[in-house]
Amino acid sequence: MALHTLNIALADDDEDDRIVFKDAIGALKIKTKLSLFVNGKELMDYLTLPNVILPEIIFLDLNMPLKNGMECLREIRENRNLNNISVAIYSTSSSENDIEETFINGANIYINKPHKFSDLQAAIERVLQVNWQYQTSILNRDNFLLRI
Amino acid sequence: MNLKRLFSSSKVYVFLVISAIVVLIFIGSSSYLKLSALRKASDAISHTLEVEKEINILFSSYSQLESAQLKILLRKDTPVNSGNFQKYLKNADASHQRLKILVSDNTSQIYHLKRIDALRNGLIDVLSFITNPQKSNIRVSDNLIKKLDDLAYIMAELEQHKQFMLAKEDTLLRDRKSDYQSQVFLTPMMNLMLGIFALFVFIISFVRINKERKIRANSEAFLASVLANTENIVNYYEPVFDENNKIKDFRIKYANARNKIDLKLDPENMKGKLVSEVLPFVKLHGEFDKLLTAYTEKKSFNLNRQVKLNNEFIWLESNIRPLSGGLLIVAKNTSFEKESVARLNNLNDKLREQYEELKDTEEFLKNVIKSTSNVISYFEPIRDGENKIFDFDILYTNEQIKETVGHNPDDIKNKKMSEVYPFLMTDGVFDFFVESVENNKTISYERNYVFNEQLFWFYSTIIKTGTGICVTSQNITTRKENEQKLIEANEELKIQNTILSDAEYLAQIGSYRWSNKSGESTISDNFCNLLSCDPKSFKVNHENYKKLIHTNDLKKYELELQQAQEKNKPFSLSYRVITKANKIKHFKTWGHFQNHQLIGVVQDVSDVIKAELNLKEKNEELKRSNDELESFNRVASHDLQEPIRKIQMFISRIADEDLDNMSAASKSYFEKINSSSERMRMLIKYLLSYSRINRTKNDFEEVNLHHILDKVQEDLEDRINALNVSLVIDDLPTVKAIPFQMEQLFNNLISNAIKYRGLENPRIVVGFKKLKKNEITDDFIKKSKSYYRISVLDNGIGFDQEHAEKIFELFQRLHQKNEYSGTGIGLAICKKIVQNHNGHIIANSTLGIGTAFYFYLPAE
Amino acid sequence: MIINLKFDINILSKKVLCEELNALSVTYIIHGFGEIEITGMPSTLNMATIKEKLEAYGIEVISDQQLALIQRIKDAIAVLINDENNYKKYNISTYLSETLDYSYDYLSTIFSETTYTSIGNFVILKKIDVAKSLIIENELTLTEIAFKLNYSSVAHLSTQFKKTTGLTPSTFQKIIRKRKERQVML
Repeated sequence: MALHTLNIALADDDEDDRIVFKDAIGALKIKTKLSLFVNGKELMDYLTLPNVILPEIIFLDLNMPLKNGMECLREIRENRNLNNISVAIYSTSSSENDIEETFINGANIYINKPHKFSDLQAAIERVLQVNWQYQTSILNRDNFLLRI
Repeated sequence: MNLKRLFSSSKVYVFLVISAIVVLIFIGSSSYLKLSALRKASDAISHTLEVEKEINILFSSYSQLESAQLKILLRKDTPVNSGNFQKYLKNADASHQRLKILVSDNTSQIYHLKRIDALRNGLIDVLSFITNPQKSNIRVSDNLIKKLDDLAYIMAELEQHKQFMLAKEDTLLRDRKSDYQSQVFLTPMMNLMLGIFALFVFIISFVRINKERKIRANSEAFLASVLANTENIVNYYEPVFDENNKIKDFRIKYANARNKIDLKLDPENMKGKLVSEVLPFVKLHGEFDKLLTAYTEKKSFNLNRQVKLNNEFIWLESNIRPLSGGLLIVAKNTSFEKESVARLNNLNDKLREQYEELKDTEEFLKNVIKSTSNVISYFEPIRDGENKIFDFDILYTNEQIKETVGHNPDDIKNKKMSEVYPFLMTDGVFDFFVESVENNKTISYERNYVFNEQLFWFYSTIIKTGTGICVTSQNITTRKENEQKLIEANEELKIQNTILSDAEYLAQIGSYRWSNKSGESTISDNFCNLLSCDPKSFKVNHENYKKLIHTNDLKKYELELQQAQEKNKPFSLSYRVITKANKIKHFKTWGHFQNHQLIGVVQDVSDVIKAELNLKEKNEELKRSNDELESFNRVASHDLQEPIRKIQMFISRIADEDLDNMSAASKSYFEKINSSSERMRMLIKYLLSYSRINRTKNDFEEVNLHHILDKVQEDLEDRINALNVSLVIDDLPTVKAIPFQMEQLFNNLISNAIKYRGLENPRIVVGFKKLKKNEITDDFIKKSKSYYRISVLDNGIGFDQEHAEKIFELFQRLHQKNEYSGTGIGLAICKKIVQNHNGHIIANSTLGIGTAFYFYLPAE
Repeated sequence: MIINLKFDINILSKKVLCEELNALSVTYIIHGFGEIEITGMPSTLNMATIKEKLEAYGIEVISDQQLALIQRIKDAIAVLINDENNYKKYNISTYLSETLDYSYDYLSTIFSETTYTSIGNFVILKKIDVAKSLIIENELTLTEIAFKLNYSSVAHLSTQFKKTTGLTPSTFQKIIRKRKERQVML
């Protein structure tokens, strides 16, 4: 992992959240390359470009205009090319049912947007770490579910 | 004259005849006897002579023998001559035999014969000896001399015997001759007497016969005249035989004069003719065979038939009897009689019919009287000296009296009315009787009596019949009882009706009966009230009523009506009417068809409908408002979370970056901002979760509370460990609940218990108890029969019991913010959750000791 | 028709490897734990082609020695976890150092540096991963699974499960089940 650069994508309509996320990821020891998208449509347009370098993990906010996180999730999971990408739902507090719903729809990770920066960092780090294990090891990616 | 009488009486004749016969027989027999005696005598004589003759023959034979033999002896003949010996011997033997037979009745003669026989043998011997040719010597032997001596001896003996026998026979002859002599005289005398007697008898007979002949001739003449004058046809037939000796016909030997009258046949012409010729009808119907049978079997028979003769029909009653060598037919023309008889029979039949009818009627009447349930009696009035009726005789009462009064009809027959029914004399019935008799009136009356401890009602009718009265009494007890019952029932019904009317009024119900026939439809008073109409104002029928129905509903009314009628199902419908007061009312009707009538009730449900509508509206309002509130809540909470999060995020960033660089004042302000924002976050979080507590049926599951508590324990693990919290969990049930909400509930309660701990190590006990509905004292609407009461007890700081209800209110806190952090929402959330589960939550506490939270969850 | 499958990655990868190498007419010896020794190959063939062919199946030819070691550690752990008998006997450190013939310190240092996670963490991750599979298979109860994976109790498993995934085993099961249902509907 030390040698590897993780490609990460984030779709969030809130600018502050994007900045904070970027900062948090940047502070990690893990080498990452972050792509930011302001809404679901932008994300999906990008992902469906031919010959695009696909991110290894996508962070999705749920509440976005034009195309929200759930829709993106579904599309990603339905797309054969994109199906292997780990998807983390990155959202504000939702009900248990909603959280379960995201997992049921194919999300691998659900992150409750933390209130503290340090929490965010820790969360991202954990996600990347675990995700890395799933990518590099003989762990069953289908069962990769993580909730923070 | 006696003599004449004597002569004519048959008995005497019989006697005479018998005596004549006897005498004749006597004489005849004695003559006969005499004759036979004579004959016997002569026979005897001849017999004797015969015997004598025979004896002579015998002895002559013997003599011959002797001489023959001597001859031989002398001549010394050749045996040829011995033939003579044999001949003479044979003659002797034969004679001996004859003699034997002849004298078989005479013992002495038999004796003699025997001797002779013996001598014979001796003789023969001697003779044989003498003639023996072997004796060649003519020497006169000694033997020979002896023998000759013998011979002489024998012969002498024989002679003796002969003499004896002859003597015997002589005596016999003498006797018999005398006997004969005597006989000779009597016998002819006898015969003469016999002849004379016979002649005598003959003469008498002849005289008689002659007389008889004369009588007979008179009788014949008499008979002929009788026959001639008789009303009967008298014919005599003789059979005619054919070649096979079978009777083929009959010849009329005699026909009397009547034939002329009845059969229109001349008897003279009939005589000598064949029956089949003259009376051809005989050949019909087997009559001829009958005649045959009569003749051959000598049987008489009668015929009674109608015959056709010379084209006339005549009824003949004939008697055919065999008589002498023919058939005597006595016939009578019974045509006239027959007709009379027929007429008589007719009359008889008619009479019998009438009699039968009468009998039937009588029988019928008897049965009627027997089978009637009425008491029928017949009374005969008893009058006093002034011809005034003072009593009645009970001549007849039918069996029914037994059923009622109990009397046996036979017992009271012929008794007086005053005796048997004394009470009738005084209660006016007697007067009715009298009136009926005197005035020939039919009177009816009703009375009741007590017989055998039972009350009887009677309806009686008196009819004058003959000289008396016939009283028919009908037992109308049941009818009277029924009448009474009916009256009572009617009363009852009236009462029911009033109750019904009241009920109708209260329930705002009206009843109706719609009939196809005009004038039969009715509606109840309250129905009219409901329609705000005067009961008299409109003609009550279905059509008129339909005019009141709201136009929009009329169609469905008609449709439903039709359906109900066709399919024979109840008529049930809700519809509107416009009352006479121009108000719209909602009616609900339920009825059914019965005998072409529609019977049912309507209920004014206008109020109900209005109320329903109101309720519906209110409900909808509420729902709307609730929904609004909820979404507002959620959205607000959710949307409020965003900025708070950001605030906190940036607070943390600033803190990370520059907290150290801040001045003390700034630091503290910053800290305050931080804590405020944190507080806000908590509030919003709890509010959000509070707003999220709702229920859908699907969320309910069988939740094992232990699992829930395990989770809760896990959640609070850090704090539990850090603060040395001893969490004791008793046995907990499995309940039907929303798992997440249960988790929240326990989490909140236990968090509280930890938060509001006292000085000692917090100790929290969670337990439960199952209670029946009636065992629960706490006041809440208990829909379930039993509840689980779960308790969370702590040894924390407790609170004043007077706040026990307040703490469950939203935002209500008992402490300052700085004392204990808290939102004031936690317990509100608990309450909401418990309410969600149709349960109830209460708190019991003592300041400084601890707190007990109890919440009830339905056990089923 | 739904068939549930379980993949034994090791067998799968091994088979693919062998098939491919055989197809390429490469002779080799399998040393185990992701290490093969190519003993011969046709002259026309070069390493690049082999690498290419294998990469299609996701089989990476690791050039780095260190990486190889990491992989071997991972494989060894996998084996150990799946073999419940052995697992009970050994503890990780002993097992690994013995199996791989390095000191545990060295192994753990290399591991953390490269994979950015400790061996201990990885073991937990792996165990939970196995647990997840077993839970989905639905043939064993949680207790049996806990026992199989050498947890002291179900609670212990549940705790670790929640810690690792953030979900309780039951929630996890529910989610997976619903996912499958959803997929069927699609």
